[in-house]
Amino acid sequence: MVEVLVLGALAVAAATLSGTLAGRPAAAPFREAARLLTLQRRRTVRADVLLTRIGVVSLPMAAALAALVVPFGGRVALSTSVGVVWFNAMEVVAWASVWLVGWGVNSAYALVGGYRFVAQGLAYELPHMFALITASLAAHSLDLRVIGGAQHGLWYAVWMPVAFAVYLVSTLAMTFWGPFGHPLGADLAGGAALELSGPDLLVFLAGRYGLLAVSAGVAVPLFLGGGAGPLLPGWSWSLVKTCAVLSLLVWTRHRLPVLRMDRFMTAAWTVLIPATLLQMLVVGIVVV
Amino acid sequence: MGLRGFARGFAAPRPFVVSAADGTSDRLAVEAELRRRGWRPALSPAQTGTLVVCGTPGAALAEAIETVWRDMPEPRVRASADLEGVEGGAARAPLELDDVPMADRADDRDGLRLDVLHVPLGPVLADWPAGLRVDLTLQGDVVQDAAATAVDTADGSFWQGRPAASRLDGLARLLRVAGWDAAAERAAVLRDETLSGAVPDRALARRFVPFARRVGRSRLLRWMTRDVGGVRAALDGLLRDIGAALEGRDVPPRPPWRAALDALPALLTGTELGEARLIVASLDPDLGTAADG
Repeated sequence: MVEVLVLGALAVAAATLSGTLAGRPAAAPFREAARLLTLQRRRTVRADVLLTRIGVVSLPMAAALAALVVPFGGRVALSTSVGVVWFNAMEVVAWASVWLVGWGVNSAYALVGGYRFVAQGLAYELPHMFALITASLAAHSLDLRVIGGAQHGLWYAVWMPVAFAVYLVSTLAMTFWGPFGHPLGADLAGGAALELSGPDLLVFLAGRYGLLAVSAGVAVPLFLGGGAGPLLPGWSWSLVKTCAVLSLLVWTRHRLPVLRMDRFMTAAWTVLIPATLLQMLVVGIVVV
Repeated sequence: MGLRGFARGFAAPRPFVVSAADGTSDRLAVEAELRRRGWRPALSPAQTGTLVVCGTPGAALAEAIETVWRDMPEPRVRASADLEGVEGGAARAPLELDDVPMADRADDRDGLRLDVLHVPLGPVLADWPAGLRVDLTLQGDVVQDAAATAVDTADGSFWQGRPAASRLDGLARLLRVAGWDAAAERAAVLRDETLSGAVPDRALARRFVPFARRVGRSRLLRWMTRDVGGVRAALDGLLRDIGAALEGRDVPPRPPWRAALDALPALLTGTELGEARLIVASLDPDLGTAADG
């Protein structure tokens, strides 16, 4: 269970890093959390409260459940042979979360935010899955620890760079972060999260940071050799690599403008999917 | 209560800032003060209980602000433009749960029968021209029809003789709507430095060059603004004019807002909502000036 707690701490660290990059004090996320905790919950007219609450709560739940299978070195909270599938299934829960929140509050702009995320998910789930499968294919396993251990000094990020790049890009899309933050965009005054107030918003945004941290953690066994590294024990190498990936993901928010799906969808279908399929073909030929 | 009191004391306020047409100087002061304190403005009134009204809204805008204020979550605070004066905690009128009619349906551009929603953009909206309201007819996220109204106007001239700062302000808003907060923040800082007069224009022009290069050359931004109702041209024009104004060269005056409002319906019809926001931000009508320039 320590692994899950570590990922939770990393999620908080990601929030702090994001604030620091934007020039805010390091305590800003904690003060924001205190503000949201003491703010009244607010209801919209004819809202579907149950659906909204399910959407809000399921996001951090999915992140926590996904964290169960993330290995740190040889240690993992839940030992399973199908970690990759479990992780991906939890990511797909995020689709439901954002859509339910956008739909449930009965607000036109929140609904548009929900639409945006469904379009984004449709565009990114396939390349994301292909990237996951490519790593599994090379290691002949769906167990994240086995995949991490199968890289024998040559990280998958090095010999399947397309899959790694697509994994990072699609991770941003699945966590609606940074350049893929359009579902919660400023142009919709907060998009799907527009009508969430107080603790609801806090829980929802915490879930997003959680997913971001978990996705960074999974990149390590998939593409960065897991806990392999000189001198230090395995778990610490996993931690260092996770921090590096997480920082990279957080940083994109401050470096890039937001991508609109009406324009980007085409690229996902005509570039990313063929690229990941080609990558998978190459990997398939090499390992078989 | 002890814990709640501590949490409230520790919490960093996040005000929702609304500007009247004559509130530009107040708004700039608020934004500068927020930056100094390390606070962020809220994106929507639901996210906060703190409201800051800049300038003196006319009756129509005041009514819209009152509606927003009534629905904001507790604890509510109405702060003055210096973020100090506080008025809040007054008993609120009970929330009227108006019965919202069901949406009508009609054929959309692809021949599908979809709900038709009538929703306004503004006049109380973050990163939005003060005093403007655009009534949209939406199907999904596509604008089927649009009508622009000047809800609040003034005949001030805050930006008169400040061509660089005026355009930096518009650029900051456009970049924020484009989802690039870091660049928008940089534009706002340059704007405030220009207005303060503490930094010589020559130095500002030098600081602006790398920023303009980064924004102008961003491939993602280029891709996202290409063929969106003249947004790309407007962005390039802003970057060019700001550079020229900082170097002391003459720049053409901003077009009067009446023309922009007349052009809006045709420009917005058929666009996706995100594109519509970009188009409005690129026109940047300043309703705080005379309608016909």
